[in-house]
Amino acid sequence: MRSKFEIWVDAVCEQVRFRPDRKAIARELRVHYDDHVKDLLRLGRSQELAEERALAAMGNAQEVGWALDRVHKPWLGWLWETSRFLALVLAALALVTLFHTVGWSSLLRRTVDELCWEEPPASAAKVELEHGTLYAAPGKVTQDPGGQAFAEIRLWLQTRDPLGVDPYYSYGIKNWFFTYRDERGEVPPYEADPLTRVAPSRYWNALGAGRFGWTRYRQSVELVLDEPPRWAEISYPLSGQDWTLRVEWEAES
Amino acid sequence: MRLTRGQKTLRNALLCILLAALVYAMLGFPPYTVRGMLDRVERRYLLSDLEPVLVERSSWRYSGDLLAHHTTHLIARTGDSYIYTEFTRHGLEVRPEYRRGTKMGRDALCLGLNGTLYVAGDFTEAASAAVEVTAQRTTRMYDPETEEYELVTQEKETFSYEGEKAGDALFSFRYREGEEGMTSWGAWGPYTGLEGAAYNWYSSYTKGNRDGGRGILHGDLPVKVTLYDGEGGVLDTLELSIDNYELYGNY
Repeated sequence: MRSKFEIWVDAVCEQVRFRPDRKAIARELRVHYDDHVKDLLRLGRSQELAEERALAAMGNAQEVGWALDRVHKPWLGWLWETSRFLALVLAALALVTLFHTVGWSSLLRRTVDELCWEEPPASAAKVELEHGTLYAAPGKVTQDPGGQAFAEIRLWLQTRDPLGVDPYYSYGIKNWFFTYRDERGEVPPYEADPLTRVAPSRYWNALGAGRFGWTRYRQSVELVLDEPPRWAEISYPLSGQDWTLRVEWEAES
Repeated sequence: MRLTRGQKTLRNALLCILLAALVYAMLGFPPYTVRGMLDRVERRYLLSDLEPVLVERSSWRYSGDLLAHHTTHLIARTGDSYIYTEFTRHGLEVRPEYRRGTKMGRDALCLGLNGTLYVAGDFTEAASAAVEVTAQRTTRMYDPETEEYELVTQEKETFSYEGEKAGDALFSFRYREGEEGMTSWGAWGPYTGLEGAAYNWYSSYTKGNRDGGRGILHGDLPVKVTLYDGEGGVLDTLELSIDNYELYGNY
């Protein structure tokens, strides 16, 4: 059989509209009631009388219920529950992302590359674009015993906003559709002959992986030519943009 | 200090924002909308003011995949320049150029996609268009003993299709025979049509290879687009090309 107190607690909890809190409220009320009963027993009251007095002191069930309902607002309760659930889901998602994708290493690498950016030399050719500034400067020129020349063009790009990151791939400047030319004409991108699979005698290729920060990019491009160039020009005709960057190598004395 | 429920809610909300930002950053700030994708392309390829010309979506899944991959194919233009790219979403991840590389063209661009050839350009005055795609049977044989390649080219065939105008900057040409395309093919692929030629006519073999393994060569197929005005007069012709890999299968 249910005690008078349990009936009273049920009457209180019925007034509380935010149901998930009802159990906790019942527990709290039980603690208050038990403490009061114990005090009265210590003062020499009988069990029955102590319970009766303690219950009377708890007040009118409906009024207590209304007061508690005002404190345990349903909208706030549901908002709190939702925020807890969302925080848990997002924490789990962050863990999955951290271990499942290569996101964390990408974040780290991009940040390191952003911080370790090397400023382009003051003599670098530059062009202001909508999304940032592109710089180009001549790099090393070497020649192999067969006479083939390798001329490095160093490129820097500093953007106003992050360029867009793919944590899986290091997309570099090699993917831009730039056109390169030297004094002997256009230098095509590297493409092996479909028949012989032999590399052409003149081509350009991205050199190394480059550095890709959040807004700062560095990439070298290598022109592989029949003989060392005196100059090279970079342009972007496919985009419809009318600019040319010119780099010049100093003649060896 | 004991926090009130309101304060706890606020704390949780801030935590959610922080975690969401962390997840978004770890995923590489993926774009989920067409505009977001175009913004990404603009920054990646140093372009500006891209406007979409074609947005095509397809979904597919690898066997054993819980979640499908959703690919958004985009052709966009800025001035006279056209660019094709694609983004593939898998769950919350969005990978650019997952299945195909980006390509760009000045004045016009063509794209083969799931049995349809799309040609983008300034077609404001064109009322209709026709396309001719020429395929040539091409076989490359590699001799491992001499380390030499032998290329044999044989017959050519030109496939013609009528276009359907899909806006001021796009014509589409349906070349697939049947509805299903590659999914309905037998073990050796289709034997007819442009799709079949793109798949079967470009082959590479290794001499002496007993398993008969065949590689599919990349080949650039000439594409000639003829634009007509409202009275059927020829307005212009465009000479383009397309890789045979774009012309077969579903991507």
